[in-house]
Amino acid sequence: MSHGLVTPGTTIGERAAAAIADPGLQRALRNLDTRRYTARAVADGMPERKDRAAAIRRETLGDLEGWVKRASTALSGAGAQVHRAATPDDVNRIVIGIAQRAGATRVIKSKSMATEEVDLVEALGAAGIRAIETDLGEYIVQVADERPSHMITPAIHKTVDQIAELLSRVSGEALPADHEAITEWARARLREEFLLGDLGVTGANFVTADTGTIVIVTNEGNADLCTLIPRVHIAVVPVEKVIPRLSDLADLLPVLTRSATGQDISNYLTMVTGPRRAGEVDGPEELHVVFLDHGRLALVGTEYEDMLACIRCGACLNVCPVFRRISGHAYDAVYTGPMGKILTPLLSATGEEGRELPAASTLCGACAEACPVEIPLVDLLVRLRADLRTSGPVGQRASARRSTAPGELNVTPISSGGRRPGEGMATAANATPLQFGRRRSRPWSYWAAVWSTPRGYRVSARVTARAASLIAGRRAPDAGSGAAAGRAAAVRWSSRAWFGTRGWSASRDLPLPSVRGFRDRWRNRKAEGW
Amino acid sequence: MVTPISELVAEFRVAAAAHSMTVHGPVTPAAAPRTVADLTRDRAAGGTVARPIADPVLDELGVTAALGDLGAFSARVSDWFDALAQAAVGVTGVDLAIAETATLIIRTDSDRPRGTHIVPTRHVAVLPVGAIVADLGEALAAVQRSGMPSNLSWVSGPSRTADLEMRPTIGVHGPISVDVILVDTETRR
Repeated sequence: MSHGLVTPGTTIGERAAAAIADPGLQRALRNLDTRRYTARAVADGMPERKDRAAAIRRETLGDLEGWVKRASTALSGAGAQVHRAATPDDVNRIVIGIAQRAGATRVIKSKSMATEEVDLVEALGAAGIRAIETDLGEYIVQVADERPSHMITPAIHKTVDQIAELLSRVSGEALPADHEAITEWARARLREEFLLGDLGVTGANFVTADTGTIVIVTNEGNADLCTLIPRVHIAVVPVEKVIPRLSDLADLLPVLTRSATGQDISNYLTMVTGPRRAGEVDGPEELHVVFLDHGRLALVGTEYEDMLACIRCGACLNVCPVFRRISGHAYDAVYTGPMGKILTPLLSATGEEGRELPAASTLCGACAEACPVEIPLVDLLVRLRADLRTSGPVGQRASARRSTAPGELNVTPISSGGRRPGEGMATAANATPLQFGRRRSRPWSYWAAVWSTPRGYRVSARVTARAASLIAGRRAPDAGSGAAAGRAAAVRWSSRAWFGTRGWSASRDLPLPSVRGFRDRWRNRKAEGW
Repeated sequence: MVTPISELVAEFRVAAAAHSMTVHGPVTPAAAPRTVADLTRDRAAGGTVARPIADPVLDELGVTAALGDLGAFSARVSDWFDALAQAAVGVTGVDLAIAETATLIIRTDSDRPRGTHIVPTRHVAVLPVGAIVADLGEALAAVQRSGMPSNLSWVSGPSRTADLEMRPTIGVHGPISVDVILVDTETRR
């Protein structure tokens, strides 16, 4: 299992290459087809909902600490016990402490990225407490001793054949590679776990500051079961999950489910306000909420603040051309895809985890377009690339650099493993160059050398343009450029498909190269009447 | 402007179908006990039936009494949870629902345990049409007005997963089916 955010040793280039070469994975990833969501979302008035949801998510960011305090007051008022955790270790210590005091030895969990982030299941195991994931996808990756590869569908990297084979090892009998049969088996298997559970651990999609309500979205209904059977319920909640009002859910929930799975609402939605009350016959006697910081509050007021608006819908993963090819494990991080490339380095206390991730992007912008809360993911990626050229924690430097609202920088006390002001500040002296993917091959170094000088660039551009027009069969500038002739030349050009463009040009035409380069034309711009 | 109940019912029907729920009725209040009992007997197929200890909707319509004839049990039994885990059907009343998404909002209190709708194999819900509001915003406002209970379950279909190759598959943890019996009532909530 995973330890911390990232396991060292390989580069994302190597892992991506391995993922692309894995036929089973590529077959499984074909299931990640979310095009059908988009059409329906537009019909449902998504643009307006997105604007409102984006505004609600920004409302708390100006004073996140204040909103967490307000939520804490409301939660306590409803009978919950509130804890604050600065680091992942703090979360694990708090949860283990609660479990031990309650004498709990069997934990049933519903899906939560926050508990993945802090590696809670692993920590509980080390303390002799058995924790079972009850979300079917999470259960599958737990049995496989893997990390979820996608935050909404954790086992998207596996085909049903692979899953049947894996679970057959647990069941002791051969399970058929059939969706219904596997689901039925898992129902019976996990029912046993539910009935034995004495501690329920969940995340939260939102926590309302006015009513102190924990909101959990599922389709399986497993959060209902995790919050009804055990004597104790613990919700692990990253601080940015706080929203001002219960009524805000009218915009946030539809935006979340439409972006995550294309549903207008999830099949189950659990709202917990305090523990079991006097006279009630089921539900937890104790309710604990553990607010997790882990570097988030330090991002408030920085250029990276927008990342805290994220609602973990997975839309940016689903549309990302990189994620769709390499899947989640290649990132070697808890948070993957576009949002993970940004969040992982930002949450890194040492500044070492996820440093190579922002480069694993084409900057195509599909993620930013898909984001239901309007996070400028591309801008953040570009900014991170620049900031990561020097070492040290990014969020820390971003805080130090900004000039407005200094009061917000007074973050909560830091305990073991956290970052301290000034620690890890970047200097040119300790900067380490990043190496992405495989070592640069010889042709690329020649290319880099040529393009390092203006003259080299000019000459190479001219040579390339001439060569390209020869291949395209274009002789004189703009000669015979009637539509038909142009089209014929384009087809000719595309069909030659040289330099490995055959795959690309199979379904589209390569644009015809211009005979005269931009520089030529710029020099003669007056004559050409620009 | 208030949407006529007939429109809300029509919208609820369309959404329920999209969410793999089965809608019955609307039936008259007088016919409700018989209809609920018949459907529950059919869904239970010889298994046991769980119900709330008391429920404003079920009690007022006389459904609780009709379920008693079926041998339905409530949390008054000593081994409630074990019995619930064995139950074939859980019957609940619903006093708030959303037309747009066919959502049943199930409230917990001392008479209405959390587990009745989610633990048994099937869920049968009794919904007076006057309890249907137009959308999520209206439902949240209604919930907040009446005070937040310790637990609210919003049910918009049977227990479902898409974790196997993103193919929707029903019945992973909770109910494998949700039946909604609409009852024609004069009063709106």
